[in-house]
Amino acid sequence: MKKALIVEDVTETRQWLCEVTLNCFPGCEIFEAKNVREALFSVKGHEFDLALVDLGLPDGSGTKVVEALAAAKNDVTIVVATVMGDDASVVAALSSGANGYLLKDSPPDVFERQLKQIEQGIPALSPSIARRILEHFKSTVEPEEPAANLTPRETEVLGLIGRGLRNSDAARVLGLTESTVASHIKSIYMKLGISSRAEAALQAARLGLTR
Amino acid sequence: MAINHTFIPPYVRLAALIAAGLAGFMVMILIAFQPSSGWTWDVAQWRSIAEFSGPVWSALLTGLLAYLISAWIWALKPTHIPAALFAASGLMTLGFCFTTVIFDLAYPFSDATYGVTAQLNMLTASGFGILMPCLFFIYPNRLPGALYAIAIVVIGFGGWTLASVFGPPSNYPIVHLITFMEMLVIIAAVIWQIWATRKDPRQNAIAVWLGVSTVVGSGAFIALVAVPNSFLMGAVIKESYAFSFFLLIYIGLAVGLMRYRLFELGAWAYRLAFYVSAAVIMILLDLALIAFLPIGQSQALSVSLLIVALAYLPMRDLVWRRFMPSRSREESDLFAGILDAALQPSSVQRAEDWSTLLREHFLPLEIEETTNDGPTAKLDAEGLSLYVPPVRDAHALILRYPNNGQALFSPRDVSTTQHLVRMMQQAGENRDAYDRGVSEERTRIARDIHDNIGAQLMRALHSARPDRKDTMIRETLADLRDVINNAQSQTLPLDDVLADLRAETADRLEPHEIDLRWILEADMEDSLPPAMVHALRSFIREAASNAIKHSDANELSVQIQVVPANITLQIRDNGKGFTVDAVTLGHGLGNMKARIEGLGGTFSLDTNASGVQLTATLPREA
Repeated sequence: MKKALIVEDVTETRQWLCEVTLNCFPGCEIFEAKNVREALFSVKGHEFDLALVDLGLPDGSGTKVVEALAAAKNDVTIVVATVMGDDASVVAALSSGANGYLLKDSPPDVFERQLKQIEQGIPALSPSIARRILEHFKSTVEPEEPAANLTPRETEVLGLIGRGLRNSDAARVLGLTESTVASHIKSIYMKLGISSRAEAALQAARLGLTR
Repeated sequence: MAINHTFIPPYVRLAALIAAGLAGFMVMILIAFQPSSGWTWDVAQWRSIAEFSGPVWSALLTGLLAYLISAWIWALKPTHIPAALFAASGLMTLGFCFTTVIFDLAYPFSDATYGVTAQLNMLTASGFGILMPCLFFIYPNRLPGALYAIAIVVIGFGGWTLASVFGPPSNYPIVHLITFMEMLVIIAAVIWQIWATRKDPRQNAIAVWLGVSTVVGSGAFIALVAVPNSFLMGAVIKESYAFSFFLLIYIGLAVGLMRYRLFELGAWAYRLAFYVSAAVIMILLDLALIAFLPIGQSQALSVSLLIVALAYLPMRDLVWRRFMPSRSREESDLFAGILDAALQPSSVQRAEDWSTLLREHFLPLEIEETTNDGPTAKLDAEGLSLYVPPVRDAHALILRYPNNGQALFSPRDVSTTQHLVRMMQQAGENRDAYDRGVSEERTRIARDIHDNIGAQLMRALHSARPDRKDTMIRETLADLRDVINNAQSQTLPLDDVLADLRAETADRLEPHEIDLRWILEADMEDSLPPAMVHALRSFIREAASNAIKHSDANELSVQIQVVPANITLQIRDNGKGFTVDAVTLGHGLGNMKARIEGLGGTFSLDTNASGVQLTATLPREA
């Protein structure tokens, strides 16, 4: 039995998200929260397997909820569900531990399919987010942790997705299996988190906060 | 511009006056040390301090302090008549205090010296009594008939004093009678002044403050010394001690300066006093060093020089730098300061920053707003003040006493100011241009939202079919995302737009098991105006919707050709086709056709049993 958390401030949208989630994972137990405070409270009391988190909440950014969820449990699937969220804040959410993101205005069938895929570890990436991530790594000058750098393959995957190819298309172009592309994307997400942290550490060192 | 460069800045004037006062004081101390046997440089024969401490110290210190405070006031306001009168009274106080001391010393002065000293004493004591009423006749408020009152006091008491001093011999205590009568006039003048200023609270406060400290200060002396001497046996307390009452006047003035801006002086007068005192202390330290280092003994000389070079001089320099801010701003700092000031969000802050910038650059003791006196910076005749023209939000300013009163404004300062004003003006105009740009951009975004988002929502609202409503709203949200993510650019990069479209279309087709073939012939560096992007997007979306709903196809091919003259779109499915007059054309395809043709393009539809082919050509730079 799965436990899912749905964080969304618009009542209609929250109900819609609940329905979609139940369709995907019949019999799953759903907890609802309509702001950061309620969400953080739930995260303290329960262990979730899945969370759908809106970014623009009335009392703050959903990124805080993502961080709390990522810190609370290892194998939770965190999905950012956004509609207007600009690319930059989606990238921020991914770097703080989200496993993927969905657009709430997608038709229900598309949304359900993508949600299932993320849950199975096949994250989807939109071209604009892929481009944003590439830019992020380009602008991060030589982070001290080598683990925070993209491999050439990962850069290639991002580049293809950024040009509008889906995972399967990219896999075909690169002569890889779709699951290999998916694992590259997961690795990119992880490095995004590390590189943001490395960037923060670098910043801190520059400001003389460490040592 | 006539600038009198021989004019002395307040700092130098004050330092010189202090030096003169201290020198006089030291001479008096030197005389006080002389024994009754006559003049000697042999310190061993000098009187011990204990022998003359009390009354001598009291009178000397009172005189010195009154003089120093007066010198301070006059150094700052040499042409201000009330300030000058007050300062002169301090000089008189120095006079009668120092001359009184002569009679308490051991050194055998000649009778002639005693005589002259006594005359000086009478002149200065009476002079004080003449100056004070004159001050209160004109300050803080010029009383009606002040000139006549001044003339009467000066001629009356002046004549009486001169007659007593130089006329037929009379006994010395006549001075007590004169000063007593003068005291009565002082009290009358103070009361008159307080009464005359009763309707102006500020002037009245000044009159009360200065009047009361004068009446109490000199009145106490008169009551305890002059009155008993004139009418009774002798003074109640020793004259030299009683002088210290006069300090009340000068200390009262120093306090009043802060509280009531006496003589139009304010806190900045204290800053000047601080800097000059620091300088004087520095010089005294130097003198002490010279006096106490055993320079005479040759073996110690090198050690002494070493101490001076290694310890004292660097320390002195350090302390001096610490307390003496000087003009050290570099050009680049100035430029940064101007930018900061010009880019402040509110006009009040801009004006404040501007005056701070001038203050930090010129270090004037005083800075105040003034009336607009033309667009160019200029000096006053003496270089004491600098007029800064109004610039944008800032009022015209007048800066006085640059470099903490240590210098005068120079023609170079005028050109610097002119330069600063121009820079401020320029930066302000650039800021305006920037603001205009921001507002234009805002207008553009608003128009974008109105034209595209608003129109699409309206279409969705009036659409009868729920599934079309949903599609339209989804499209609108996608466009809105686009507006948000691309708010910074008017034209959208073509490759980004097409990449997004490709992924979106593939995502939509996938659940219906339709493969997407995407063929693009375009220069990736190209970009498109928003209207084209919207047309392109809705065309592809509509075609995909049709394929999903009606075609039963398993492949959709999208071919896009972008050349400088136009964009050609060809979308083909391999489905079963449909008849052109079906209801579909009335909705989606009809809209599509209208939209393409609205942009000056052409639209064609081919349908047969092996599929549907839509072709659109959009001219660029329409």
